[in-house]
Amino acid sequence: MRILIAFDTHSYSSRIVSEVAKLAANTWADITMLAVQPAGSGNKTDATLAKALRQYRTDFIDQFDAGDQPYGGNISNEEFVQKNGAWELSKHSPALASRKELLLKIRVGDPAKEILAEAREHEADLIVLGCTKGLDSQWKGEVDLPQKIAKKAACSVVVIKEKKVPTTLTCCLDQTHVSQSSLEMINQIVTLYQAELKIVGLTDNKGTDGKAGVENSIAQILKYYAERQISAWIKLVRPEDLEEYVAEVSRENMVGLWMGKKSLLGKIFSPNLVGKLVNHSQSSVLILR
Amino acid sequence: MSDQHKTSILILDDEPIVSKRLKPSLEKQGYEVETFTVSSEALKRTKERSFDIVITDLKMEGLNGMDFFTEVKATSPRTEVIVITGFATMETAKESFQKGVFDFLAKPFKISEITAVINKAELKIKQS
Repeated sequence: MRILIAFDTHSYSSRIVSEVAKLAANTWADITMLAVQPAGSGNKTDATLAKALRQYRTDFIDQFDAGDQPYGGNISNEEFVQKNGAWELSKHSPALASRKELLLKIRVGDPAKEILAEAREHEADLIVLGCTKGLDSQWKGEVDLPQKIAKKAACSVVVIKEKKVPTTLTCCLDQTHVSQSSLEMINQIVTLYQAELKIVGLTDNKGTDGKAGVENSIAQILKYYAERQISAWIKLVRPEDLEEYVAEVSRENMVGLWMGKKSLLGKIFSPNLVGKLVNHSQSSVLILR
Repeated sequence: MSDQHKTSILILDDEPIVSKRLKPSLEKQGYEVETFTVSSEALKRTKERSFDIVITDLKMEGLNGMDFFTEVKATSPRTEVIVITGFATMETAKESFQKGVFDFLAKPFKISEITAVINKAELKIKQS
């Protein structure tokens, strides 16, 4: 698994370090810590951003017991190296060749475009970013950046709104088409938070399945979790009620929406509604793809 | 790659979709691949012949992935084992490495990711 963490220099970015470190401690994922500096800042790294990224890396490593992590030790005098129009800093040792990558990277340009480009170019499985709390989701002063990432990323996205461990993850799926990788991502998030899992399916797939098909798909999902000793609650919601249901649940719980290419939820949740959910949710949001 | 030099890989995962996805891709790359969804059957096969690389899920009914790893290593110490898991925890990650698995991959992962790990395992086997 490769996780891309998008950082700026605001406090919500430092808040997410410990959460991502826990996910990394569980999964030993390859990690890219990314910041984006504006174009026209000359042929050098933004000193504030570079310093912040180094600090995030130190804070990340400090979350692990000494000698108990796959990312190498703390960096000291290593400098960012210019590579393909960006700057990179990675501690690499041949002795750690079979272990995991922790790459610091500073790209140049429009933040949303650069985050999406980095995720695409390095085949990230998950993008994680923090943002301001409450009924607003600013990132580096941009109101719509988390929305843009949630709407346009090709991979799954977690927008972390506050440092509060979710007790429940409510995942809205199109149970007929949900992808294996999305179920796997749900499993890792549920394991991370030790959260209760609620699966919300659709009652009516308008002729694609019929009642028997819906029941069969739900039974398959229940079987999947039962075989893995994961207790999952299942709720079926009418498509026309889903938007309201999600809005209500997102006031309290972490919400996951499966928005893969084949998802019928894509017909219910337009990209703008996904952005609205990110904006209006009081808790963290997981967009699955 | 001629048949006699093919790297042999055993894949054990109780979710058939995992093997269904990995097998054709790895075979296309020239590997000899056998797949299993039941750990006791996979274990029986490892007693019949050795594999260069074993890829195993952790959480399975019956013999779990870590026990399977122990059995494989007891029979064939030179086999490199890659653990894949959908329910990764800090404890399972640590235990995997402490016991000597070659690598630990949390699901979901890309084919390119597991291929890179297999390449590293092959390199280690050739160097040993």
